[in-house]
Amino acid sequence: MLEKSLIFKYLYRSHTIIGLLVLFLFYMSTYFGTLTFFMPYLKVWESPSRHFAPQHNHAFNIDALLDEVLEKHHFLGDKPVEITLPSFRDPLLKISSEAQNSLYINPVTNEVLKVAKEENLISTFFNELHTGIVIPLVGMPLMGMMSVGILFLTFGGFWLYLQKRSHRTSSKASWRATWLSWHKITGLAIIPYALVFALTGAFLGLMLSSSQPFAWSMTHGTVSNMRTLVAPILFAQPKYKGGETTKQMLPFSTLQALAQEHYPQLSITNATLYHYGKEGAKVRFRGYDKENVAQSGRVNRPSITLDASSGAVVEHKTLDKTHGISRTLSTFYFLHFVPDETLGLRVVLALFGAILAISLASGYLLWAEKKLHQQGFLADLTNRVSIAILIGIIPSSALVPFLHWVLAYELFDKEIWIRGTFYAFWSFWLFYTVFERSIVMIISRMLKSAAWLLLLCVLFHGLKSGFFFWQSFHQKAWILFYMDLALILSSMVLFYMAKWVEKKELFYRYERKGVFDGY
Amino acid sequence: MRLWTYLCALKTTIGWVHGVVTLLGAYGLAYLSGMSLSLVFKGDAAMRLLPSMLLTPLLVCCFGFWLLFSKTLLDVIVKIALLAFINACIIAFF
Amino acid sequence: MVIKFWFIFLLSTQLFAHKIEGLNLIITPIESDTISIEGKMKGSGKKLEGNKIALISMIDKRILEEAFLEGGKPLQLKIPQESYWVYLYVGDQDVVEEGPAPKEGFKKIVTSQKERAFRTMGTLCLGFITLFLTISGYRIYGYKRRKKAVSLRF
Repeated sequence: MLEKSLIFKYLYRSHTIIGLLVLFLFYMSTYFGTLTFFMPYLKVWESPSRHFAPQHNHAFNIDALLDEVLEKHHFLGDKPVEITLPSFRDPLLKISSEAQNSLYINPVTNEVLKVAKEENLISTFFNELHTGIVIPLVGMPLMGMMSVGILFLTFGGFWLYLQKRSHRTSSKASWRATWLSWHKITGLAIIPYALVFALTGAFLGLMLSSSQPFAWSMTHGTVSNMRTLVAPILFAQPKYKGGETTKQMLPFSTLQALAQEHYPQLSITNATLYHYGKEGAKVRFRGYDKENVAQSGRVNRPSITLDASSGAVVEHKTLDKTHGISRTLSTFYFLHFVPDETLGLRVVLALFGAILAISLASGYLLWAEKKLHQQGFLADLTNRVSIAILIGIIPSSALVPFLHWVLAYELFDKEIWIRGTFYAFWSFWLFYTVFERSIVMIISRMLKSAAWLLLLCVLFHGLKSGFFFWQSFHQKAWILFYMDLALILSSMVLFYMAKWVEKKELFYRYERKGVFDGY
Repeated sequence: MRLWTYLCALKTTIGWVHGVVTLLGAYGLAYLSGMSLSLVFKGDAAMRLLPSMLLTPLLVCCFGFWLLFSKTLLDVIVKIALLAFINACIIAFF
Repeated sequence: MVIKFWFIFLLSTQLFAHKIEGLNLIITPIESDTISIEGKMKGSGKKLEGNKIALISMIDKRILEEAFLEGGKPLQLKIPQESYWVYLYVGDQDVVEEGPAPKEGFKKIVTSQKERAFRTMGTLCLGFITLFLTISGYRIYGYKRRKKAVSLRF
């Protein structure tokens, strides 16, 4: 083994190099990941068809409507029909099957809606940016590798911290020391968060898409597709035979009440209809276990199956009857997606996400500080490019909801327009960072434009949907109101930050050196 | 001969070659050990595959540190070869 | 260098990612002005069954024809007399393709807009990146020249 000083040196250098390699993509992932914590609310906010005040107990009644809707929209057939009940994720009731376009029903008015997919444009786009799927072919594995990098950095950083404490304590009052302490404090604070999310992220991004070697070696070279091996065990779909003769079904709400009676801990979120309307029809109710939310996540729903015409229990699958790995996976996915949790936990996790972003940024500044006193143009150029990435991402992402409300819904290629504009706007900032000489100017203009865009998007949201925030307050559509309020607040924060940046001498330091000072 | 001295040269900082070999080696070894782990575990396909897949990202880090802390390039290569050989044996004969 | 590389890599690859993944809508014109339509999963090559197909007019967004894919056979439809899109409905996604013209051409035509948004924004994006590269090149050139001038003076 090496002597201690050399270990320190190696760790330090590898931490720097890997950090710089990982930083920019992972910053993007962190930024959009933090935004996607609020995805359920964003989804409601971005689609006009969900703009109504949901009733507390979802007092919907589709009993009368169900038969007619299924008949009319060609849902009856061999394929099971999936019904998603209204929840905080989506206040609409959704009917879907593999073969059909999904149908949405407004639970308050019982009106059948055809919702275009453009309705979820912002949240889908942000989610795709978060997973890196926007980069074709290599995107997701690449993000997975970044997560592995973050794992390495977390371990290495902690090791460095331990070494450093015994090694030396130099505290000069310089910016470098400031950044170091920021990096250290934020880094230490988010160790558990970073470990959990990087590990789950690495599993989801990298391991799932490169699982062939494992399957190959386990089956001694015969099968190399992990899904065909694992899916029948973990995600076994029940197969029910349907008869030919038609039969009268029990009303849906009666069936739901029966299911609830037989399995009181189940909080029902979905129902699947098998051979509805025929003899031997079954209804399977799924949901999460109220006593164990983490283990009954989306991949491991306990369920209860009833006979749709008699109401007898056909199958009762409690949480203990599910596969152990399923439960582990569910816990694992729960940590990454927090599927059934509402606002409280999401805000806490988003705060942690923000701290992670600060930690990444201060890590970059630490490196930049070292390069600041070097001769040559490289340090200045990298500073400017990283401003374009790290801060330019804010106005670019603020542009997306703005355009979503400004552009007409009928535009068939709206999605491409918006995505294209996002990239174009981002590359505009890249150009602007080298065009404008003053760094303070660049940063404050970025922040200001982001703030204006957010304000305008609240305005246009009100104009287009008819729900200004005072109206949504009046009608008690709280999600809309709080979304608008959050956007206005963040816009204020951005304005304040833009003012603050102009006053700080810290940012002027980066302007004196290098190429762009000119004369 | 020159290559030999290059390989045996004591490093005080990490060069590009050292870094790249360590990175690739860590990934390669982690995948190989994951593959052999999926053979060693007992149970049905899910019990064998998913735990080894979960462990692989952690193994990447472990191997990364282990390979990083070697004095010469030769050390790195010897470590990689040794573990690759052991894993190959497990995959071939288990 | 690393950073610049990353960023260019990012932007250049992200531009090409606007199509719906995983599904192929195959439209082949056959004789006497009919088209055959098939849906296929990209990964497994499995054919779609029971999905709704609609031909929708580009002029007034009217539904010209609706039909369902049936058991493994390609669906055959007559080509309408105006510019149209072919929609395939799958769960929450629609796959949209521009339909081919009949032999004598459409009676009513809307100019093709298939790649309009993509092309405009792609050009804009690449334009800004080119501007970035030229300006930073220009700045670096000026910097080097100034340095030379300074060192010559001494």
